[in-house]
Amino acid sequence: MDSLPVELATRILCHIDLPEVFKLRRLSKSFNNLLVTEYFITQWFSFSIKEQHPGPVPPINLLLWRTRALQAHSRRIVKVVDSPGLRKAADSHRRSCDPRIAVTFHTARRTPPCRKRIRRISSAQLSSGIPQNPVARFK
Amino acid sequence: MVKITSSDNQEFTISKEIANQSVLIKNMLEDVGESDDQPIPLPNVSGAILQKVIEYATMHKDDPPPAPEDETKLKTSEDIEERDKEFMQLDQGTMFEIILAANYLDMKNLLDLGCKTVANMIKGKSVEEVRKLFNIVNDFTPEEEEQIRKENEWCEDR
Repeated sequence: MDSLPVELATRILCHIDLPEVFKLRRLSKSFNNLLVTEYFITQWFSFSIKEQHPGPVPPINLLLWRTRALQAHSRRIVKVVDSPGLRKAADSHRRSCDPRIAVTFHTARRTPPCRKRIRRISSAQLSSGIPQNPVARFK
Repeated sequence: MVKITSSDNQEFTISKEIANQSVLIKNMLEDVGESDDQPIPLPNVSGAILQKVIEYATMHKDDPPPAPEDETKLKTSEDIEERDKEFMQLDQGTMFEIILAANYLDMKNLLDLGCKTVANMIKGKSVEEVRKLFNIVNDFTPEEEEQIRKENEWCEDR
């Protein structure tokens, strides 16, 4: 399977929940390298996050995790996948959970306000057990 | 009828409705025109795999064309038809070659079927089981693997 092109391996793994996919980091170095790339994470989310986790909390937690992972990976604020499904999940989460968590659907470069928001998200993540910077180590 | 040839020069004659299930062949037919009797070369697909692809296309010739990607639709790998499950009961090498061929021939339904089948093989298995299943060599040092275990604590206990 690790001989498949990246886009096909990604297409396969997009049918599997992200936590289970991330366990596969231990398969081999090539898998680990694939699974921590911005490309993979972006593709995974665009394929599967919206519907595999229909409740408001899991998608938003994973979205926040992804935002952090991408930020750590690229060392800049990156565009979060923007879609009606994710916006709805974000709104729902804001209403039902912690109004301080601000998920920003942005296109980068607005560093000062965005960074401030991301920091607030990370403190919220700390209390909810979301992983911290799983990607940064592989820079 | 449409003629296609595989990488190992096997020639197949198929109906146009079967040929049109491949976006690649459909586009080629539109480019060369109806009257051209030359076989369409498919240098990335072997005869054996092309045979299986034709079998799949024949099985699905009456299906409606695949819908475009719908972001609001439930994505699941559990919705495989029984006949497709039977079709995909293949050795791993053939299965991966069919996925590659479906990607090359631009046959979305077959590509999805292949990807879902492999995903279902992985789901619920431990890392060690997946390694064994796909013959993947663990090339981490114990220290590297331990480091990933630590970073994966958030998902390992789920």
